[in-house]
Amino acid sequence: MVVEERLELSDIQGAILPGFKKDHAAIISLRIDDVAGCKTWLRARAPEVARADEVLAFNRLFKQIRMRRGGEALGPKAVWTSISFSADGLSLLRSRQEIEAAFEDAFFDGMFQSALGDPPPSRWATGGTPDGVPHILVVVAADDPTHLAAAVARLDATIAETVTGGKPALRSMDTPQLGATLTGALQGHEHFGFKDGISQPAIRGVASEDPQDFVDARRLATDDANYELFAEPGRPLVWPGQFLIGYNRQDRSDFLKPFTPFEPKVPWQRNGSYLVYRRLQQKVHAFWRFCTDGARVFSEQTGREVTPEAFASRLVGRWPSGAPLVRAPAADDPDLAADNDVNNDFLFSDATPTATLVDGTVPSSGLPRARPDPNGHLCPFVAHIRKVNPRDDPTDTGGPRQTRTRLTLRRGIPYGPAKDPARLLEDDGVDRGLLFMSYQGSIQNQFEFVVKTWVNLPNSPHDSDPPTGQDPLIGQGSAPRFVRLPHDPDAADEKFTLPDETWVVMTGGGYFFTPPVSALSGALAE
Amino acid sequence: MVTLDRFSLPGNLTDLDEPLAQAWSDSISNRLDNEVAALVLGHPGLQPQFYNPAKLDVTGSPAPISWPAFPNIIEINFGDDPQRMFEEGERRDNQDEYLEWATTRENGKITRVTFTCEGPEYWDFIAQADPDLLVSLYGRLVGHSVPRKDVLTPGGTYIRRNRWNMQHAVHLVQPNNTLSAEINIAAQATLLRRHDGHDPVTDPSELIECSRFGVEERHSDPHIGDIVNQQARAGCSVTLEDPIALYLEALPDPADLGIRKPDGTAAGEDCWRLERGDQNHILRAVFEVPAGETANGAPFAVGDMTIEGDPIEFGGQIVKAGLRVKLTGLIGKSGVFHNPSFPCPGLPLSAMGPGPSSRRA
Ligand code: HEM
Repeated sequence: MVVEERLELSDIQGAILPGFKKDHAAIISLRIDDVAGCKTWLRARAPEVARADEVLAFNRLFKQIRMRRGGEALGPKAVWTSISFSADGLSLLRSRQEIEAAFEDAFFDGMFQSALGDPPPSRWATGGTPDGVPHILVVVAADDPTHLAAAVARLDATIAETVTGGKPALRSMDTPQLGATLTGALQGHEHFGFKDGISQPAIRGVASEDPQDFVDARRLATDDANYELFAEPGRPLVWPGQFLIGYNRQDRSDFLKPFTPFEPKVPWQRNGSYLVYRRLQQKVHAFWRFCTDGARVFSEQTGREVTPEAFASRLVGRWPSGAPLVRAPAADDPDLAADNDVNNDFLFSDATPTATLVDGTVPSSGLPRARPDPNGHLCPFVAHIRKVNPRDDPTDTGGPRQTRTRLTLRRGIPYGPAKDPARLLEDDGVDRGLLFMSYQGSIQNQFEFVVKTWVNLPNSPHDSDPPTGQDPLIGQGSAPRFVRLPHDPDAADEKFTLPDETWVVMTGGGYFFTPPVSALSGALAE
Repeated sequence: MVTLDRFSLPGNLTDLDEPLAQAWSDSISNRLDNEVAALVLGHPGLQPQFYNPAKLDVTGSPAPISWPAFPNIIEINFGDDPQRMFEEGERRDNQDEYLEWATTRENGKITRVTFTCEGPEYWDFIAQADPDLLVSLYGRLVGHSVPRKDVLTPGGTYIRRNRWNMQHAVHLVQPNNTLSAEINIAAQATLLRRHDGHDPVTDPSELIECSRFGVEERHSDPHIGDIVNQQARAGCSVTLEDPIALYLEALPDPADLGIRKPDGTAAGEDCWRLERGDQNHILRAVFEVPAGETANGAPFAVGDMTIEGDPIEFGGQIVKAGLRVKLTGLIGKSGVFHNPSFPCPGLPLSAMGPGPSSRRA
């Protein structure tokens, strides 16, 4: 039996685990002008930072109330805050030598030096130069936008009040970057129109002395063959060290076995996590123009009507509702998408075994099952979700066990107003997109590996001749971009050239470290 | 398609004239025949799915199999300490992903990194067939003449790990990095396996343990085995595409790898020199700053450049940034073969964890 570690939830920031999951957020970028003043400010903020145990308790309560009352109802509300630091920020508070020795090279050198295929950093709005990288990144999240505004105003006041020798110790680099989930029909969707935030790894670990008090609740029956591998149907269990420093990591050749923890090089690394933040602008019209043209080509070739939605879904790997292609290859299936026990329960290469839930029932009765798709006919190999998480597919680094070590906790939220669906193809000039955030134990081995290798290379993780292409949502680089999509199992795939200008444009970001709560009043504020 | 006339030299090299070129082709053909024979002998009832394309006329489409070239085992063992990881990575015996490199330094600073994917067998063959050619090839690759005694024993036996090879990465020497290993894995991986109630075995880890394709922690062997077996399960024939060898997949644009000159501008593609093979079959390449190039008004070397902000202190940094090795299989139509599965050879295997359902990843 797998014995799971107890996670020190009172010391872990709630942004990492279980995640804020709020409809409104503000990202505040700060530079440190005076170290002593900053430390005073930090000590005062420490109690305001959300802890994992609190956020977990809130989320559980929220869910419980919602279950009892049924559906969407006014329930408890919260405002959560997290504080993270760039390498330069940490260096000011500690010392450059210490940070360089203790942290990953990629983190220390910064995102703008990484070979992610991004547009020239000189063009980024934030984070493109050493001086442009925030020292401190504060994320405030709330259910209610007025609460958010109040919290941000209060934070601003604390910054303004922190003055040493007549000068402010901290400087806001810009007005806060606001994010908000989309509303109405697009609730929970990203700007292209697809349901987001469905697939997320579960973390192994318990919240208390009770060995059954799992941080991520288990939905599978204990006698389900996958009980020890999945927290919910299709939601893989991953050792905590993949997301939190100092804990057991995921072994690359065994799903169940832990791999040795990363040994913290300074004690205050434990319970911390690396945060990747990217402000990704989405050109919705460009994406849908491409899909409209692509659909026309497909329709002509197959003699069957292929809608732009169907075409776009082949680029994503899911339908706009979130229904995965391997379960719903022919048409969107909102019922399937709405069922959380089935909408993420699928493999790519192999048949997906039927799950049994804790209550002994089998989910998805009546809903279409996932079909094995080893040749990428149902869900193209190049589809976003198959690129970033090939699940059980063989990959260029070895397959499913290795793939599990690449997963991250995604914490993104959209920014900007939704596009008018009646004018999808028009360029309205509005800035909108995704504030991509992910947590991981290693930026290099997780986020960067996925982007540099699987996303940006045309022949990875799946290799073929001719290659299937770059990730159509986020792939970039100097090489010509294309996707090959199957329209007929017996015919050659159709090649579509992707335009030089991407429809997801990186406009700024950086690598940050979200320290344990104790460090905010301790090591970083001493 | 017709049967292959003869096997080309690795990378379509033109080192050998007749009759040696034909003799090399025969040696490859024999290796393939031996693999087929071993499959048939050991497995009654098998219609071998692996074949010698010089003997059988089968239509196949190319299936490249590629993987990252930085040794996975070194990354697993030392990844938390990059300095140590790259130090270990410089040792030829640790470079076990079918790419080896030699880092040349002057006064401690890197001036050149040489990469090779060439199997030792080809060089063994030349040493035996034409020792003079061996010595002259060494001279060409090393840049000056090489004493015969450095590469051949007095009795005429080839010294694979001679100092010139170790310094200049003439060909692969890591014990697992052989052409025979490549061919053997491809052949063995066409066998369907059954184990522990799973028939056929589909899980890559179980397959590796069962078929013993090599070290599970390598990128290369398990991946080759996994892909080939997947095709075999679909009833396809499998062989390797001529010219049979291992290759660098590409010489990536240094700019894409994040390599910058001392003046901060991106390094150019002219840092690469393809030394052996052709664009699609890269056997050997050199990375160095082109002669006469300057930055900030001064000449500079590889060691003066940075990669994603870090000074280049090890050849392995370039490898890790994005070099990949490939081989190309030839895969026939699916559904042609309906072979039985075979039990795992050898001793019972260590615990595998849950079975086929464990492929839920
Ligand atoms: C604006 C840019 C992006 C858009 C529009 C986008 C959209 C989506 C959508 C619609 C899904 C399916 C929903 C789900 O499974 O949760 C998804 C999943 C995912 N995306 Fe993105 N994404 C974007 C950027 C990124 C980036 C930068 C990464 C990081 C490498 C990433 C990694 C993932 C991962 C890991 C999944 C889950 C795959 C799975 O486990 O099945 N995405 N994305």
